[in-house]
Amino acid sequence: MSSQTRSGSGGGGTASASRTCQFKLVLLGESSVGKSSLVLRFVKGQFHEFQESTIGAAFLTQTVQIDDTTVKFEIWDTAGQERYHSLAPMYYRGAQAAIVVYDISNKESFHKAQTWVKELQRQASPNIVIALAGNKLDLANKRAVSYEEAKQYADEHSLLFMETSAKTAANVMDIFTSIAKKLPKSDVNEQASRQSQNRSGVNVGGANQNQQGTSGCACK
Amino acid sequence: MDIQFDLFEHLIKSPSKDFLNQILLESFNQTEGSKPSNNFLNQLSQSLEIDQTTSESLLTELGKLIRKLLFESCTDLQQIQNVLATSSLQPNLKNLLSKLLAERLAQFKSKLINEEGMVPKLLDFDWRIDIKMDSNLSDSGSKSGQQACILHLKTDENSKERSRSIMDIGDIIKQQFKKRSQKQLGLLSFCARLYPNDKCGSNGLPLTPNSIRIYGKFQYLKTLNNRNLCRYVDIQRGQNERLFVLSEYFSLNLQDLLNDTYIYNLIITNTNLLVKWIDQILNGFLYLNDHMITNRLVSLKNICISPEGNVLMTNYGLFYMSENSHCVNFPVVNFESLAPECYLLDYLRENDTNLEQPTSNSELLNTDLNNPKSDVWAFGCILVQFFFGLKNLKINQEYIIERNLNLDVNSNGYEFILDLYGIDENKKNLIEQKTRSIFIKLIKKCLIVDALKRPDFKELYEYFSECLIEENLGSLLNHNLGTKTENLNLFSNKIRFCDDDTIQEEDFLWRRGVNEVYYLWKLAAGDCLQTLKTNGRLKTTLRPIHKFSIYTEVENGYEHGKLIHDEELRFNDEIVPVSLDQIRNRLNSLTKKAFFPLLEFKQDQVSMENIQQQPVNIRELDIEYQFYRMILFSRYLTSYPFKRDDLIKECSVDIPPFYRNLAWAVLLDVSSNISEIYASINKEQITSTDRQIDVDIPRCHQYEPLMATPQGHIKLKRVLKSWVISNPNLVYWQGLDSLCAPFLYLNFNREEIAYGCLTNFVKKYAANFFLKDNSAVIHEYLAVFSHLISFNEPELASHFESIDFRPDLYAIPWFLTMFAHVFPLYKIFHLWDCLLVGSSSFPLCIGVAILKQLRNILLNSDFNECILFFSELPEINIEKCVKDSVNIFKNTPESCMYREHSGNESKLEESLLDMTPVSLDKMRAELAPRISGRDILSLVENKENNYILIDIRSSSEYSNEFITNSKNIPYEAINFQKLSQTGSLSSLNENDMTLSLIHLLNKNKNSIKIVMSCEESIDSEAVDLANRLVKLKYSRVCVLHKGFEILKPTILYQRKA
Repeated sequence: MSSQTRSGSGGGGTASASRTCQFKLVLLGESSVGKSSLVLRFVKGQFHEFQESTIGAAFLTQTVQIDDTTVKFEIWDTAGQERYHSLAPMYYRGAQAAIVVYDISNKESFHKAQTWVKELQRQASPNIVIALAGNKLDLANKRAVSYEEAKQYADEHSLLFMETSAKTAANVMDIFTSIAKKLPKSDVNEQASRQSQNRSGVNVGGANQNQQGTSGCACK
Repeated sequence: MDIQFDLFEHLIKSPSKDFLNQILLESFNQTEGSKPSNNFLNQLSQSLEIDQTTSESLLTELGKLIRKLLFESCTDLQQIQNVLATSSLQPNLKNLLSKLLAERLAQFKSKLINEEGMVPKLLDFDWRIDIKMDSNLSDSGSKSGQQACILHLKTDENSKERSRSIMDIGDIIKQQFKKRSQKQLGLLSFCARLYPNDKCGSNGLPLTPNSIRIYGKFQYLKTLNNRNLCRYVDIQRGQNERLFVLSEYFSLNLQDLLNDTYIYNLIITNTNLLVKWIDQILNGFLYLNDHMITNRLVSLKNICISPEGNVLMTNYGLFYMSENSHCVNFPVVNFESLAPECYLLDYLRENDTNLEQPTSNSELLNTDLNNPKSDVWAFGCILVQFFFGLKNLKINQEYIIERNLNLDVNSNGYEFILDLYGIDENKKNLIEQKTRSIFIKLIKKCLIVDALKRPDFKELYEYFSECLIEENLGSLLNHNLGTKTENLNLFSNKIRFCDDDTIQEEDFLWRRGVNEVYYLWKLAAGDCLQTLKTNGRLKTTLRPIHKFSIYTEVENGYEHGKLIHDEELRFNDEIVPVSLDQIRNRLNSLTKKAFFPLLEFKQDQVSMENIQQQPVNIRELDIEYQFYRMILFSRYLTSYPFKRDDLIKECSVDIPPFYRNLAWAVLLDVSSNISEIYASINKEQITSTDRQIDVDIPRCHQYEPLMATPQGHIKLKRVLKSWVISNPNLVYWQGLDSLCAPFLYLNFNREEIAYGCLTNFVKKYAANFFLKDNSAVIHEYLAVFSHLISFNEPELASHFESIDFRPDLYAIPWFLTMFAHVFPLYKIFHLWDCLLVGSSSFPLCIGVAILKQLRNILLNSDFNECILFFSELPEINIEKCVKDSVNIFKNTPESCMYREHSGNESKLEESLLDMTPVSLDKMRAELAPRISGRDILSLVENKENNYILIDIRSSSEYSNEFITNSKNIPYEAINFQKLSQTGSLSSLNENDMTLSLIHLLNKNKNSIKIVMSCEESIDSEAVDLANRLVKLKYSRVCVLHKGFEILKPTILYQRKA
């Protein structure tokens, strides 16, 4: 964690001036649109041409600094194949943010993205922040989904929207920061005291869902 | 041996017994090779009143008789009489002859033994028992215990005769070949064409480097096996797109013969040999044609001569593997023998495709044969060079091109080539006179300028045969039209990688076949780059800094000004011999026996215990050990399926990488008709998963060049589609590609085996994982996995429980792909070597072993850290993992790993003692596994006292009826708070059940702790106690399935009177 402790700012010994907020973020989208690549670019600044397919899901974390708040993303990167769909709810349940990814050179993946948005708006937390990412901007010459079309769709459904490229890193940082900015960061201290043990886990069994706050973030 | 007894009638006229004796002696001597003197022959003819020829044949026949008797050891009178009895000789003569022979035979015999004249000279022997079935083995009950022993004796009966007779020319030539040609491993090296940096294909992925394209294309060449082609063995990639191609090679070629006037003059007049060679070269070309390969590098230098005097083509695959020279910076061409139409074809192609990669399937699968008739022209050219004795032909390239471009399609190709080669009219007439007309006719037939009129090889071959028959030379053709394809069928005896020709090999090392020799060479630290350097190639004086480009164009990434030394890039088609001295030195200490071990005689087997204690990685690098293992495995595989059980036993020790593909196929019980099954699947059929497969394959194990080749992608797709189509009840899940990759990698040229392995592997280890709705199966699997963690690593289990860290979060890719998505291929091989000899539950133990290896880190990690940790699994020591999993497997009762969806058909007579399905919710609520009554019985039977039975029924129930050796700790009597304070255990009070329990548990720390209740209170009491014990970090806790009642019918049950 990259929260900086500043000495001298009153309160107890463990108190820090900069707040650290923790958000659960899930990536969804058709397979091979570049979900894992976006995460890898965001988390490690790397790009693998032959990024292996994701089975089940992968978990990574990264922090971004928004003003005086350190936002820590706990990222669940899901498998894209339709068959793994049944696993998806256990990852987006309780998530405060989601990035739905499509490939701008693949029309089909844009349609798939729309069904994901629908599902999230119906079944995920009501306050979830959803971003739509048109990935593979580097393949703009093979574009199959126009910027305007996607932008219009995003506006209609009040989604954040950006076209990104994990390969060239274009807009990757930006989309995560925009999400971080849009997430509510209030009532920090109260929540922190309430939840002594921070668990951002997923509900595997499907039982006792939403035990974690559905809105706001868990901070410490 | 037929003896003409009637000739012996003449002996009746013999003047005396002494003379008869002398006749016998002379006859015997004659068999020994000394001719009887003329004097004696005259005397014989006169005395017996016969002519000279008859007397000569009389002696010969008598000689035969003597040898026959000696050979059959008929030396006493009675036996001789028996032999003679069959003849129609007069009885008197019979008796006399028998008596005389009986007297003399002993003398002859001793003479022979002293001189060793008659005993064939033993040159070599080879003995082995191929198949021996042990009738004692219960599972082979129906088969009879037959034994078959094959003994090869190689003798040289003619050695004496040979030394005596005058050598004919053929023998001189043969001797020369034997002396000058040596079978070797050859190395050819060249560089693939570099792409400009960052150039991407249409799918956004970087272009496949040309070296990888060549690498993939080459794989097919490995399958070619013809006696007139040097076999291709392997391809390696070096730095800077350099490639190393290894093949069979002989140190003598036709060019060398041309340069040696003495031997050349002997050969050029030897029609038999020339016809044989032309026949063999044509045979090689026909085979190449059948396999859709155009040679393009036809030259005298590229035709080798084996020590046996056969010719073999080499370098025939370069044009093919370089995708018709697309992937290299030089033309794969021999200008001196390039057919005229090729100038046009190559020009068209160059402009047509313009660097764009061929992507269509037909190109990759090489269904378009690239103008094979150009090879016919080239063949004609080298015949001209050979028959006209044109040494080291060197003609200015530009001149050749200019002449070719001006060639009229109707002109005479023969005259054109003669003119091009600078042969004047005088020389032409001279040679044409000297050479048999059939060869000139053949040359003219090849050199027809118009490609449409020029024959292809099949027509050329027919033409040549007809010419031979016309000239009464037809008998010289010793093989039929059509080519022999070696079918390496796993389950026929053809599994050996050497064909009949190599079995004749006198050199024991080469008898192992060129592929094994190459493998050993690599083990003996054989290095391609070093070989090139020691042969004076790659002399470069450049420093690394010179390899930087001076500038790069920003827009397209083209680099300029790279100072790569000419020597590095210039193509040189000369094959460099690879030294095998290192292997020979290493194997020097081995006796001949080591090459032919007897499998059934333990004293014959070298003790391997020392080396087998070493880590697998070390064993795999030990050349001697691998040598032994390879021979052992090849022997077992040869006799498959008869030695199947022994083979599997050896597999559990380790599997030599060279035979891993076949050993795995055996372990997975791939059926013998897999080729037909695979062939019958319609792989072109369009399925709904095609797109998914298409997007998954380009990212499946791509760090491995073979998997990154276009061929790798096509083959993987074919195997996966075949699986999907032939398993209609199952579907493609992402991850199946990873699962398939190891099998394809090992059986790259035998997709059917890869397919067979995949099918059976999924059936056995991942049964029902690939159902459309697999959640019940996967969740049960993961629940059992949790139980096994509790059972073997309770500390971890209790930690995971406390942070709510479930296997669902990290272990799905582990088990769905049996770790193939988690580890790189080389690690998967070792892991699966072990997995494949284990049962279907074994992978669960591997999972536990991985956790065990990471235990300390995991115990100190919170939820996030744990899950992050598994997203990028750290380095796992596979050797240790394998060992641990074997131990875990051994120490876990089978029923603890029971799964309803394991795919094993449940037994018909299921007894109470066996496991039955437990609902998923229950399984999840239980931390510890359940154990079956049957497993308890076997624990008792084994008498190892490694278990304790904790009976938690009330003491009154216990006093009525109980199980032998059980301990009663009533559930109600346990104080759970006290139980958790294990540290402060001081005195043992018999009445305090909690303390007794603690005492019992601590005394039996490593025993299996079975919690037993009656059936109805399993969920309420037994499971509760077991859960608590797991949380208290007691290991090996389990619950008796179905409770106390099931043990009632067993011998363990006791009732108080």
